[in-house]
Amino acid sequence: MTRSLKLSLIFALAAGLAVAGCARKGNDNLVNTNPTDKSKTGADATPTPVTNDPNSPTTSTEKAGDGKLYTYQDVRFAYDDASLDAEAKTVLKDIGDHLVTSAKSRVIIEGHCDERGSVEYNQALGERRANSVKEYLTSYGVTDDSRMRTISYGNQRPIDPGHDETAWAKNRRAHFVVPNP
Amino acid sequence: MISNSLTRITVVIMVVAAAAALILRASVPRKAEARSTEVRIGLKRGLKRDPIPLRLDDWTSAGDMAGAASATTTGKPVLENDLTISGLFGVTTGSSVSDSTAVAGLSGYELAVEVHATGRDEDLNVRVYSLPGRSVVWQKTYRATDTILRRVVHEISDDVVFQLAGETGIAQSQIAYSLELGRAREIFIADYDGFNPRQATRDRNLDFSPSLSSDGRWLVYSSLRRQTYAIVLQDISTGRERVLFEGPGSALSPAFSPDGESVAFATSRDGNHEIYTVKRDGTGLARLTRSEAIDVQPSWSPDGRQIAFCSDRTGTAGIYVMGSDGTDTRRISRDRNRCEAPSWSPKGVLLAYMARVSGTYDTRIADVATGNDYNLTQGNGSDESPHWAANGRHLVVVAHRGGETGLFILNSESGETFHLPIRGNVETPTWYR
Repeated sequence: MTRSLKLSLIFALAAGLAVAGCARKGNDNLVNTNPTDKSKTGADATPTPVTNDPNSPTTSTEKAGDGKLYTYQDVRFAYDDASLDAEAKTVLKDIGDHLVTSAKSRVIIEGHCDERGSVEYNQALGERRANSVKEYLTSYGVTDDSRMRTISYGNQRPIDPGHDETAWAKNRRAHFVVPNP
Repeated sequence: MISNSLTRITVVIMVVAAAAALILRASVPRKAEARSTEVRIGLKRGLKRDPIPLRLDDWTSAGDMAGAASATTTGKPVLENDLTISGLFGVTTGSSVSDSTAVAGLSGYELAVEVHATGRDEDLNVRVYSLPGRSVVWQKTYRATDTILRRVVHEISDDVVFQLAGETGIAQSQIAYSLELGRAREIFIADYDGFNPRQATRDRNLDFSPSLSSDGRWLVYSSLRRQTYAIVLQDISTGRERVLFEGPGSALSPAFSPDGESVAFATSRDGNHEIYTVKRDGTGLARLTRSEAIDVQPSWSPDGRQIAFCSDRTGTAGIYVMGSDGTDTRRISRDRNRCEAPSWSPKGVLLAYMARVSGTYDTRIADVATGNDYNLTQGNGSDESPHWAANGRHLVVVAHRGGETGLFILNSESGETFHLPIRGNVETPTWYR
């Protein structure tokens, strides 16, 4: 492993952790980190995940083709609802801008629910949430359908194991995962 | 061990006249016609029955004393538990009431089991006496060994239920469920009392919603594997599997038709979840619902002509019934509470489903014909995913009650609950036979 690659990985991990730290404090502002080291990748390279689960459960960071890091934030939902409120759209516009710019980036959109209700209804509701996000991004200009896959985990993958509204609000989410190339 | 949440009704309050009538009935051996226990629901909850007084004697032993003692220790609690869960008896226990003065105050029946052990074999001599006369009204000898003892005791319980109450018992039935193992879920099948669990899948995927064919040969379940949902059919005796349906879109909540030839399930292959059926050989995929909403959790009527399901077509999840060809859809749940997971009773009259009331889920029982309903459980925790036993009286649910979570059996008539000794995060139970 070259010294410069090592440095870039350390930098990427540090950036990912910093972003995760912000998210945990409830800072929903989007963070675009711009590492200066572009020695490894060119604009044609396939984006690679830097952080996916489990260290940063509410974000995923990828190293895009131009070497920049981009962090996908979770999209939150109201109870028993798959519609996108203003805050969700703010998050999705940023993700949409990134996906339009970074044409090689691909994502898996996971739909999740809080623990309340039956397994199967929540599996369906989680899929509706993931589809809702995908449809928004499609209409935003991410036209290549194959770049966005959806999957529902229903209420089976909570990020907060609590049984109160604070936990439920975190668990009702669409979560982005950067697939391995 | 299973605990009875209600105080046991004692012999003291039993009505002698009722017992006498039962003695007359029981003296004639019954044919296999199970009495219907379902009534249409008026404005109040279902039947309350007078329990049949049943004195369960301590088991006695003969022959190889060590072997007999072991069977006695193991067997009697199993039998007591079975007869208590049945909800048909007021069970009391104690030593034999062979002394005539001890019998004087008792009514109903006395059940005595004598274990005669020879080597590994155990003969269980079962006698039922009517009280207070103490004449033998029924007796039978069962052959057992330690390894099959629980099964044989369940058979004894079902025979006693049949002889004394004229009903087909549930003590030999099975419950299938999804159990969390690490990051995965696997399908298990256990005896109805939660003992003897067998792991049916070992694929480390997220396996949910088991349904067994009525002949017990086939298991079908929903599996999330490598980010694709599939409906998987398993031959239970060999473990061999085949995929009946696979995405695009998710594939959820399969349910065997009563004849075992078809499977109803929900898939989002058309963009949102619709109810489909597919033949057991994987052919004949047919779409039944056409709505913009979520349609999931099909449950067949016992004659196979109708299907109940959950849909949020009015904005909130509710319970609906349609013909098994997808026609004549009508709504069953009446209020705007979130209602999910319908289960059609084996006698065809009732639906059980989960209804969200004041933030938790109650088990609700509804008359399919009239829509009249009542909440079987009310605010005492949260009950989810009810599924009927073959007797149309008991339900299995996933429940959260006072810090306890797991599978519970509910008696839909008395409201009694029994916590099954299955540890772990359990979901989507179904009762088989």
